[in-house]
Amino acid sequence: MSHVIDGEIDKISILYEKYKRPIYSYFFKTTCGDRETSEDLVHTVFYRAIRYKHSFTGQGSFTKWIFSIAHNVGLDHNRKKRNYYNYESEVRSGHSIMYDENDYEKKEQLASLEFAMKKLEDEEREIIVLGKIEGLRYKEIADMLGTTEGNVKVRIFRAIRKLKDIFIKIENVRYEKEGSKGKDNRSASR
Amino acid sequence: MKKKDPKEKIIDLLQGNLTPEEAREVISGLEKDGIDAGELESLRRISHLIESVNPGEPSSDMDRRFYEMLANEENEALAAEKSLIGKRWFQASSFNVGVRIAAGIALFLLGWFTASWSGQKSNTDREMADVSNKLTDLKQTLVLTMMQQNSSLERIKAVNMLNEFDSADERIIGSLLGALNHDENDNVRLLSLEALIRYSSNPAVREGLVTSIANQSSPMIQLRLAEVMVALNERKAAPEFQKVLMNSGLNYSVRNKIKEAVTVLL
Repeated sequence: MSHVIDGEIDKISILYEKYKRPIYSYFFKTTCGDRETSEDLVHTVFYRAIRYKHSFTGQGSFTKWIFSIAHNVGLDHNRKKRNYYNYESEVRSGHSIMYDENDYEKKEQLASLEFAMKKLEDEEREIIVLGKIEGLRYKEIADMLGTTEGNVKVRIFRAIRKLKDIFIKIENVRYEKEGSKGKDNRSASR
Repeated sequence: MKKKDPKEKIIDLLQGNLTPEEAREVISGLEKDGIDAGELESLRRISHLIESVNPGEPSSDMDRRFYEMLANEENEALAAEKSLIGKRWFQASSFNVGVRIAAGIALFLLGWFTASWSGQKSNTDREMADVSNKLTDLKQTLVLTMMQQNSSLERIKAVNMLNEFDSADERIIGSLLGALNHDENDNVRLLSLEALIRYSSNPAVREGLVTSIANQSSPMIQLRLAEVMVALNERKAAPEFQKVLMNSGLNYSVRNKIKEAVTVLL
């Protein structure tokens, strides 16, 4: 990054190649599988990284710095999103997560997870995803969010617990539906 | 010491950040915290499920957009640099110090040829050498004057001109070390360092380079000094670098480079 700061802007491509996937994955999960938006947001992150390169002082890790930018880009996106449309109305019928076609149960679980993630608040979804980023420590997440490491863990716990409750409800509905389908099929075959 | 919230410990447990002993302790205290083993298992499952989400690969369109944006940014930066250099050159070229030096040398040569032509003295090798020395001396004096100019562009030119001399006397070494330690412009300091490397067989230069380590704050120069000291195997630099490492605000890349240098030099 010091080369980029010293004017060798092209060196950012090394960092882009290293970080594009984790940042894309971060946005993919926080936008609940919106590929197009995730790619737009990754683009914005690197645009800002070039424009504000001097804000990287080298005191923290590059991972923390770039994800701080991603966090702010995400916040801006969420703000705009709230202004323009009702998020609840955007819940789509299709799913965006890559499923292993051969594993039906896993595929259904991931679909339920995607739906459950959509039911969380933006901040709850983000804290769960941040906690899963490789190389990003809780202390660094705490610095990014202006809170303590302990508070970050507590917020992750609460968000995962809420997600788990929603997920279980969705899964129960699915099992009930599949059960009734099974009954209908059995009745029909009789 | 503040007692940890049990929820913090559960996150550590789910992330696998606890030792087996700590994990056992957390699990045995769970019910007291209102979380039964069944719920813990559900939390673990959902946590693993999140990790198993595969976002797939971003499209090649994302790469294309990034590289287009990068090319634009580079072009803009290049255009801005060219415009700045052009502006400075135009300002400086009206009657800059370089022109004055050239005029001084030309006048000196004209005087010498006129004297020779008039046949006042015979041309001898000794006289030729004398003139050549005087010319070099004059050039050095004028270049050293350029080093004192307010314009960093003039100082950069001066350092480049100093590189043209086959040898460097105390005045030149002193001037380059002065620039390396005190010039406000990073490029002048870096060029001075590069010029000094040519004279690194001189003990005074090596000592000056070691002393200058403590005066540098630009990551670019700190990195170069670390490389140079390793290349010269200058062991006296190790304690100076160790002092630099004590600076908590040190650039991450510089820190790593200096650590490497210290390991080699010690």
